[in-house]
Amino acid sequence: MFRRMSVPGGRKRPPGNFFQRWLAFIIGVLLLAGLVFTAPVLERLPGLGPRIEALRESGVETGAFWWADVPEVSEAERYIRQSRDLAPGN
Amino acid sequence: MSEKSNSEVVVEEKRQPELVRMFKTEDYWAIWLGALLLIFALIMAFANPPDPAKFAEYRAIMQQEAERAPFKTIAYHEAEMAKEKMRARNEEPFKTLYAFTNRPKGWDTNPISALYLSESEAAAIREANKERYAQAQEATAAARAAAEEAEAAAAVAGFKDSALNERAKEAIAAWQAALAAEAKAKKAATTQAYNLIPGLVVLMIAIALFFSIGLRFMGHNVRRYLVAFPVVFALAVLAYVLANQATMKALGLSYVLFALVLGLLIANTIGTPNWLKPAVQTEYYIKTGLVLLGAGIMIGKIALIGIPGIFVTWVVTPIVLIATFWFGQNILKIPSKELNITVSSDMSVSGVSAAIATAAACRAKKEELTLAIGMSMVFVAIMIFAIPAVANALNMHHVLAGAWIGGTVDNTGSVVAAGELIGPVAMYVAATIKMIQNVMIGVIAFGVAAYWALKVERERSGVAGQQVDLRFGSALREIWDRFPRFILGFLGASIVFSILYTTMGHDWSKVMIDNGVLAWANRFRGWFFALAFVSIGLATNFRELAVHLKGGKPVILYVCGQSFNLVLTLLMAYLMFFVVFPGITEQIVP
Repeated sequence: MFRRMSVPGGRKRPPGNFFQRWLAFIIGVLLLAGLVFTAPVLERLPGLGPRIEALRESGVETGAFWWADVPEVSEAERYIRQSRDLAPGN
Repeated sequence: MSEKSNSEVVVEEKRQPELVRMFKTEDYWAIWLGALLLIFALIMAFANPPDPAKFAEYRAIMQQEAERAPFKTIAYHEAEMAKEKMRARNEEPFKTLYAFTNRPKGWDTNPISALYLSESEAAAIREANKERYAQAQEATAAARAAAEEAEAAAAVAGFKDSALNERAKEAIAAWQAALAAEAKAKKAATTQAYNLIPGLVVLMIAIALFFSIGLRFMGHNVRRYLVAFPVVFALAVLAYVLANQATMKALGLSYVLFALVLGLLIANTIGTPNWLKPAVQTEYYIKTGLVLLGAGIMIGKIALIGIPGIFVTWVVTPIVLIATFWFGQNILKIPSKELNITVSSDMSVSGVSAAIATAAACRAKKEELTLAIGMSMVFVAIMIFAIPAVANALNMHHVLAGAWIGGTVDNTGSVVAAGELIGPVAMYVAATIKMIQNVMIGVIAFGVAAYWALKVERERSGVAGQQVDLRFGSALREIWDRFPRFILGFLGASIVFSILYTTMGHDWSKVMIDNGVLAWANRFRGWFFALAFVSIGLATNFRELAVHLKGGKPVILYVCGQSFNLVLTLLMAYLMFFVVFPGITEQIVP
């Protein structure tokens, strides 16, 4: 009756011998680190740079995907409610 | 459509008696654990809530000031700010427990500072920002004096002189802006040393034990799980650290993308070691996270911006979703219905959260979810900058631009960022539209789960050609047999919290639910999704991923669907906010 866990992933060993696989891993790590550490170069691009800088300054959690993780949503909700509630005639 | 093995799907289908299912399946354990966490948070929040008398006092001041003057006075703002600071999570014991769910902090050039900041480094930051803070304080004091003077002048005229009222309003707005700048400067000037590592270790142990309860009942080897879990957790921490690099963050690259990349890197180079596999529990983490996500789906919020908001989200979004799914099936002939619906939902509803919920509801393959989220992240990074650039170039009205962004850009954080690049009103409208669209995830997940249970799965099991039993009871039983149970927990959490929210009233719910129960539960949800995506990466093979990308069909689907979405959303937003209900637009921008 007990369900054993189906083992996900890694069923097929990645191609190459031991050294090739570790070399690929190290290259991957270096590429990822390179991407993260060289990303600020994008801020020097004309047109894009000032916009990235503006977003950095604003402190918006740009990568957050759910509304509750973004404090500005609460601010937006308050603004919209007040614009509705404080409108003339309400 | 090829058969899927259990190891490949985001959530698995099980055939067991219901009572056994309740204690032996991830679906039900996700519900039990999600409910346990939410109930615990509710008890903590309500055991020691912020002072309701103070809350009532602030509300009374706001009410009184709103009646006294035709604009928001200084006293109104002060009461509002004090009210906003009232949060259930700021009261003990919630405060301490909340601190233990901390995530790595933002960093610029030194990734260590995401987890650790020494006293000397903190002192250096404080020193560097001291002067800026002092200047900001002076600017605030000056702006406050000007605001007081202008308000007093308007009051002397009995708030009947529109020129004086306007002057006071502007002076108060300037004071508010100065206050915001001061708050930013203060944050840097009061930087404290921190070490998040001990807290993360405690959190890791807590999460490991939390999931162990269900694993024990489900018959897993808990000891092996506990041995492997720290590595999966460490990868989740690393994903947060990488995503919190300032530029990465500005580009909208979420921690889920880095969690995927880290897992993929290991799985496709050195291979996922066998001893690590017991902690690769994708379905379990994702379903528990989804139950917690369900609690944040407040049904009552759909009417926030009136009928225009409902049309831009609840009419356009389903049209785009269904049209994109149809296009994928009938024109592009995408072999996997699951990939098709996951990409369509990701693109049309709200990005990552919709992709996760849809993939789980239709039991998509891990590779399919990986592909949908990967594409979404690439397009989001482009759209954050492209849509505001187009809106600004066309000198678009900020309400229209905001509605356009809110309805089309994936992921709430990116929507807010894109709105910010236009202006505050655009940001407010965009964020509100996206929040309303987020509510739709519950309906979409339920609809997809029901459609798959009744039609897709039925066809696959070979009963499609047989005579359909049209009796209501039979149809219901069939849906129930195939229906992913955790969706009930997801919807149940949404219904319970929507009722709580309505019962308690918006303002007090903000204090107790948004800034209490859900704030804490959301921290856990973030960690569960990070663990889930590390697990997905660790279980995904690049070659299998490449099969789905063959012919570039998913990319074509995304581009065509998003293009249709951009046109239809813009058209609907224009019709609703400027032709049918211009009064609402005037309320938003008086």
